[in-house]
Amino acid sequence: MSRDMRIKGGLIDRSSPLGFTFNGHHYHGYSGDTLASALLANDVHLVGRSFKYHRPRGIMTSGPEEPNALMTIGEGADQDPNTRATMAELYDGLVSRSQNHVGPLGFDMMAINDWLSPVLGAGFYYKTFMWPAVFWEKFYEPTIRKAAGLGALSTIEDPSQYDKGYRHTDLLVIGGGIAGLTAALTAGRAGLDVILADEDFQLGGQLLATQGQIDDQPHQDWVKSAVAELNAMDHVTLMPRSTVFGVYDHGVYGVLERLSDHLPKDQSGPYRQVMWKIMAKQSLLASGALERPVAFADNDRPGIMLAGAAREYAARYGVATGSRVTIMTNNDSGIDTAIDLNALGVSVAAVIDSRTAADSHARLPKGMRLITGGQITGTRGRKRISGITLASGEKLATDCLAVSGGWSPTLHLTCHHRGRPQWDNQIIAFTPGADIPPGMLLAGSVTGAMSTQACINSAIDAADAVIKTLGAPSRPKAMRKAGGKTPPRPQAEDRPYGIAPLWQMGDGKGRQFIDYQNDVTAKDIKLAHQEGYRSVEHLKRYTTLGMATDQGKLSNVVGLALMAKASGKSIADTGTTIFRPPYTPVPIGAFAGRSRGANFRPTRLTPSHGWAKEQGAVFVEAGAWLRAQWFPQAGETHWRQSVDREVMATRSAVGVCDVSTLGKIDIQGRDATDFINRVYANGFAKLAVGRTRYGLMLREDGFVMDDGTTARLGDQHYVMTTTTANAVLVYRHLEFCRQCLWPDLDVQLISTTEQYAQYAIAGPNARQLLNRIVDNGVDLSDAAFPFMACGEITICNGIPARLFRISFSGELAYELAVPSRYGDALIRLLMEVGKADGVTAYGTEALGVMRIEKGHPAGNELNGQTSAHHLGLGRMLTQKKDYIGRVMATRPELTRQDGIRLVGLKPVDPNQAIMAGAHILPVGAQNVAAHDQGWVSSVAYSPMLGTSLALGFVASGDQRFGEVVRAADLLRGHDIEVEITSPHVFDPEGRRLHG
Amino acid sequence: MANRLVASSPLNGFHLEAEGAQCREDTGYAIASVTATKGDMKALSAAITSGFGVALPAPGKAVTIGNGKGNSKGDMILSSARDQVFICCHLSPEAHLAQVTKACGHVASITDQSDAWARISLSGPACPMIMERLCSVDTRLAVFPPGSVARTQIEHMGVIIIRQNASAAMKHHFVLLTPRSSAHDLAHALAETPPFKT
Repeated sequence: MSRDMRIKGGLIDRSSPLGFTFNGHHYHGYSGDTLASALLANDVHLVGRSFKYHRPRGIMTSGPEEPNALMTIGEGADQDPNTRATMAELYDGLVSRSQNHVGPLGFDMMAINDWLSPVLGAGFYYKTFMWPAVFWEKFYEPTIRKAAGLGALSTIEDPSQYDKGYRHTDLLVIGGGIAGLTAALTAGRAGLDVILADEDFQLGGQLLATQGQIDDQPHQDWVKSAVAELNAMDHVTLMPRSTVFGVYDHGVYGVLERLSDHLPKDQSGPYRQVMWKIMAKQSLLASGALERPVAFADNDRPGIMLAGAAREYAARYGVATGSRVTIMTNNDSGIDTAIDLNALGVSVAAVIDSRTAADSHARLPKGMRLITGGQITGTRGRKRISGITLASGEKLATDCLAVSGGWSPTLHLTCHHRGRPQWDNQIIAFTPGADIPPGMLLAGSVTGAMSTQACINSAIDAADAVIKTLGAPSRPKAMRKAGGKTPPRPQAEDRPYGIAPLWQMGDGKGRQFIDYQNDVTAKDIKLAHQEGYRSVEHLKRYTTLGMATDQGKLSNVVGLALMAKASGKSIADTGTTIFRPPYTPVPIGAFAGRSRGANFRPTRLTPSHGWAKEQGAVFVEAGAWLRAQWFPQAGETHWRQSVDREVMATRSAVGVCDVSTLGKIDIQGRDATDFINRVYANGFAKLAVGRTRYGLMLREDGFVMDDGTTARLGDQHYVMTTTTANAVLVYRHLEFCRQCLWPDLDVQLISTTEQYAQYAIAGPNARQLLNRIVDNGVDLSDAAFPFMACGEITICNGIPARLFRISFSGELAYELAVPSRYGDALIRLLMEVGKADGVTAYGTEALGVMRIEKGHPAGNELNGQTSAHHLGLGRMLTQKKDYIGRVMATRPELTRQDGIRLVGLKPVDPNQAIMAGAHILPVGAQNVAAHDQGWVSSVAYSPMLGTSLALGFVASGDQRFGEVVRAADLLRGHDIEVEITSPHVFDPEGRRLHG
Repeated sequence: MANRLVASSPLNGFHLEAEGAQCREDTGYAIASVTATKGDMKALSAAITSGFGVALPAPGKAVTIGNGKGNSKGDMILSSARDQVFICCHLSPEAHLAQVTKACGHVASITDQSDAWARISLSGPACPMIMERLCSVDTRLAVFPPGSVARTQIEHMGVIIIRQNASAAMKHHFVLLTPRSSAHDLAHALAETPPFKT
């Protein structure tokens, strides 16, 4: 069944044969082939089934617009569905499968749909599957979706790696055909930085597909020398296999480069594809034009393709698409196709021209049959075309029908800023309108230039305009060809295009496909019009015309023409839909790039991380930080065992916790005191040097923003600490205050979070442990270094350190900071020398238990929706000064006596646990929002008190100590009685703190 | 307490080698942040010129200090923020802080940043292809000449990029300063970039 359809010539490397499979059959092609050209070389035309009617379909095009030849390439996790065979470069061992059929491709069970087509027209499911209503979601839709599908994902994680990148350039040339190459040469010779991107793996565009000469060189030779010259320029970057898929704001272009798709797996590089953001001062769109088909009965049989595709397969790939090729055209490019095919040795059965006469007919080879004024009314052959019927009634035998309905500029990218194409009656096509993206120029066929010479001229003019706008930079003179003189314009073919409109042939009967990928027919468009869909946008959505993955690259204009015909309006008056990114499909993996799995975002590690890991610590994310949550020890099977042990050891001896993650902001300057006094709600004006104070920071709206301690290290030198989560937020806030609110203050800020490793050392033996490492002369006695003292000291024989006597746990506690380079050594030292003091490392969970026992608010309480009064800190709001948030903090709702207050909660039955997030309801009240009195914000099990404990907010809570309410978590079906207490339940007198 | 603590570098001497590129952690550098009091950059400029013999770098620029042309140590002053420079020297942090305080203490607020940053050196002709994969800032050699500084992001991590002054041996040489806590991830990002990743 496989015939060798190779002819002479082409740009394939016949010394490099490649084996591949299609639906399990082995074939071979050559390096330089696409999967499509290699299949055609083996005379395989039937390559898929259509979306809706499961009709046999063949390769229609030779480019990105291919609607039919969608393949699944690769196997297992690597399988890549919906790959256009016309764009898939052949490699050795390529495995491909056709899609969308049940049973073998040649006998698709779902082809029954084709017989049912009379009831499956546009909008059929809106009309058909209306009853019973519940069936839609459960039965009809899943069934229809299953029947009408494209390829399937493997559902296994994609093993390919994707990367991203950023490039900057003066000029981005989009498209490497005659216009793109000419523009790149012109701009490159002038010394501009140029990137030329083309979706094809070979630059040259239509020059590779057509016979002709530029100056005295054949097309393909001219391309070779142009590419060689561009390659020799350091400031020019050629990017083949790179699709510019989107135009974004400020000269940003989305470009997908396929690095490894054309390589066998064992030769692939580290990344399959790279998503480039190219930032270009100017871009030049030289995307050419796409040929379009014509509507006629059964115009979708395998073997029917675009004329330009048949021409390209012959010229570029050395493949005859049939042994009796018939050409149907309404313009001179079809005539040129006939001439080229004949010259390349492909047998042309006949040329049917819908025009009655054309000058170009004289150029046809002698003896070639020409039918002028001809139209096709039907075709024959199910899995491959075998013949056509002409309007005259004549039947012609043919195994390939090459159709040209004219060319439409590939103007998709011009629409990405909502630019609207305009109708051009000269070339019978839409051309880019005036509102194309800023910074974009156009050259070549996308402008409607249809001869090679016109393309060259428009490219040089456009490149000259770019050079004029950007100014030629100073490049070595050697860069400039001909000593800076403008070389003469290349000379090439400059014939007219000679198109006469032809959208539909025959009497409108039979299946005339417009959108091949979505199976939209001429009848569907007529029906939509009959049913009142007048706007092109409605037509598109009702019929799904142009809504497939090809975005209507072939179907758009033909569909609009038929719509215009139905409404009796011109195409210009009918208008067009526009195009959005991406120009062609982009894998989601390419958008994700490296940001997947553990690499989704960076992590920040504490100075003790390596040591903690050695101890088997369990880590928790705190912002971007990984913090040790607890340190399991041998025999501990439940996290609570570890946490209870850490709490009890800290409270009975001494515990060490890495608190380096807290934000540290160094504040200096003559007005540092004034500055701090303005950002905190409580007074700081009288904080002495060597002392630390707890500070409460409000937002401008009066709610609490953050809290922390600020230490005064010198007369004009403070260190503010923030919560871990708000470190950046507070720093930004302070910078705003400094730069925008009070630029007159002399204040300098810088984060020193990363500079210091800081450890909390807490517990009755804390001083004893510290005394083992501080240098002689550092007096830690209560008198010399009391609660809330701070100072710069040295440890371990001269290592500079900062010591703060502050406590989050309620114990005698210090925080010791050393430069981060000593952080790892210090934790090891503390754990070693502290053995005698009963030292235990504790994690964030034990830290949380101890702060809940002490009633200290943390992130759960400082959630941006609570005021100082809510937190029971209303008395800290000083009246003696102005500060950020002062006015708004006095709003009645934030200060009302019966508002929520931070309280402690204790289960009445100590065997019960309180659930975080539970709502506070009166005992016996109905579970309705009207009875809601607050919520539980933080919970813990207190090993010291032997009970579950919680912090929460309860209406008038501070006046209700001793009252029993319910903590109801209706989502988890949990509802228990709890007693309202003071938030400070452990050592309420604070005796431990003062040691 | 007799035993001194042993210092560790942020990346434990990380290095990568590939055709056309090498990357290594530069250790032993001290960094001091120097922020002009009252925003008085003239006074700071004078202090820097008299203390280090160079002019204050303009925003987005760095200047080499120390032994001039043959600056093999990579000592430099770079603009790091508004009214602020970082002075980086291959010295102990204590000695460096003392020299910076002596030179600028009367006109600037100074902090020790030596331990806050990891310093990574990236060199070799493949630098441009590495930088374009990592960073959206335009670091093309012609646009970002030696002495250029960009404070930006790589893979969501803050980074200060400095193009080092060119020497005959090292036409392509970038220094990256990145916060210590996430430096391991920047090192990973570099290792994941061709030609280091193959």
